[in-house]
Amino acid sequence: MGLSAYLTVGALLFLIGLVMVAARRNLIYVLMGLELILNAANLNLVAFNRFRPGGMEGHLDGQIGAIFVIILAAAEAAIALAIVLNVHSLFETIRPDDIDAMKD
Amino acid sequence: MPDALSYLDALKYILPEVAVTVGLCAVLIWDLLPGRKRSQEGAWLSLGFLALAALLLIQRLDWREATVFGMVRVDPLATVFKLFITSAVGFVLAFDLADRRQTGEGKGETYFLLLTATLGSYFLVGTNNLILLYLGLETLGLSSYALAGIHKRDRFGAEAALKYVVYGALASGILLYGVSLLYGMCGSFEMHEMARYLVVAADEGRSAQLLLPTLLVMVGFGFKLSLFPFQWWAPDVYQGVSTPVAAFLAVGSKGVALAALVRFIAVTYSGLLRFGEGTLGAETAFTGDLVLLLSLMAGATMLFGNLAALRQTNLKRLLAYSSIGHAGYILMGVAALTEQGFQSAVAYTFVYYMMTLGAFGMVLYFANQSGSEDISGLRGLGLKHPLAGVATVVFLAGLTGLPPTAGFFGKWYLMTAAWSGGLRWLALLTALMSVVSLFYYFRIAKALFLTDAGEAAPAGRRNPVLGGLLALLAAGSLFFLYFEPLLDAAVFSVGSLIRW
Repeated sequence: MGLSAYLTVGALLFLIGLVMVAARRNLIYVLMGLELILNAANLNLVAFNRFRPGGMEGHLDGQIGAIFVIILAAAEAAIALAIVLNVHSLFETIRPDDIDAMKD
Repeated sequence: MPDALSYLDALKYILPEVAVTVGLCAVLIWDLLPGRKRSQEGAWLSLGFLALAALLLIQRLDWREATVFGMVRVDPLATVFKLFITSAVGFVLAFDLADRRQTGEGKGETYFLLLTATLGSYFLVGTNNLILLYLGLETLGLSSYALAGIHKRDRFGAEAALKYVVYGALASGILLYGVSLLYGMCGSFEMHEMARYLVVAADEGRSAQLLLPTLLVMVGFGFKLSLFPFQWWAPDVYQGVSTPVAAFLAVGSKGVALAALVRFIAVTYSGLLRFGEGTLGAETAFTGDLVLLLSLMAGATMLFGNLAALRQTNLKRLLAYSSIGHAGYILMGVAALTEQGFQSAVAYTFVYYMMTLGAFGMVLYFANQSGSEDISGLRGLGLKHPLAGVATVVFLAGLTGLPPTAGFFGKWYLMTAAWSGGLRWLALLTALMSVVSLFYYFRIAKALFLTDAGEAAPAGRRNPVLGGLLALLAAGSLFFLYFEPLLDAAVFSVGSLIRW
């Protein structure tokens, strides 16, 4: 399998993530979409590094970058879930369209 | 790559970061210690560490550029903007201390999160490495999301935090995807190495490939700077969070994002831009596209911000739209893609800092008196609180861009830069929007001074600390551009970016 196979999967993941966030059906759904976007980027980083022209000897920045992103994704999920939990206890819903107390 | 600096030598370059890190640990531990404490002590502790970091930064203002630990870049632009965020957080903490409507809830966490955001900003402005830039952006972002939702039983705050975290995480995810594409094209996260590769690519006529990654990265920056069409979160979030936190989001987080954007564009695309001699400049079709993209965003942002502000009655919402409009003005300087343009954008960011911090301080001052954050709550208060009232008029005049305030000169520099960069329609639009903004800023001044308070006017106590801060910021809004050392540093810092 070549680079383009990985990039195609990455692009698909990215698009699926975007659609999940844009559909706004359910907040958990939205958070899953956000994770997919980060993982799409991660897949790109790792694949680009692996298929780097001239080999990946001594050049692991893509792989290491991906590890950083995984850590950040965990932190982000923790904060986002805490906020969603708080919203749920105050609004008793996790449908994004119903959470609209502030008006212009 | 091997670095000539030894570990201990390198450590002295990041002492400000170390100071803030120690500070945030101290604040967190202090909050966890048993025993009765007053919430104020955490704020004083944070202020102390911020002052230490600021002192260390001032020492480093004239240091030559260096890259330490392979990723952290210490140069004038970084140091100037680290000072910017440190002092902005200092003001925010002072606002918080002076706020009389204390709830006491989540205070320790607020101070901790403000320091974390400062640390993230340090890395955001102080790196040429796109992965570290992303990490800095996320450290700043995650702290801001938590700050927005810190009051657990506040419905507005919870909604604001939710909107902020969803849109923010989406924008930074899209930015990361763009970074991954850039990494694939150039084989490196280093902006300087990317620039070298992009020059080669442009010579081979392949610079059109750059459009998609650039667009994706601009989504991330556009969100942080609240540029059209990524500005939807700003009014809801500013209205929902406490006033000091709103001031932090409007000033601190926007300022450092602008610095990172200037660095990203000026360094990564340095081979494709039209700078003067001593740089790699060579104009390509991509340059034209980039100018078009940035200038359209700038124009749409100022139009949207100023027109939407016209019908607002909540002060924080109004200031949110006003800060969207100002992000448009600042982006206009970047869009010209000239050295003069970058310099005027950086200079205006400093002026914006004075005026907008002041405006949010004003909201806090008068909300403490009247208990309301609506324009109608200001009625007649200007005469009862002359110091804050006059300071408010200075901020409003500066935000409108009336002479003799620094806001006028800052805007003048921006318009000159855009005009000579070939963006004449944008310069004219700025002038037109400044006239429009007069209407809504004048409504605030009118409520303060020209409206009769009526019988039910509350007889609030003066708040000398906050009044003093407002006076300081008002002096800054009037005279900032005459204060040459800082301005020189800002202007000089851009020069160090594009000559290498």
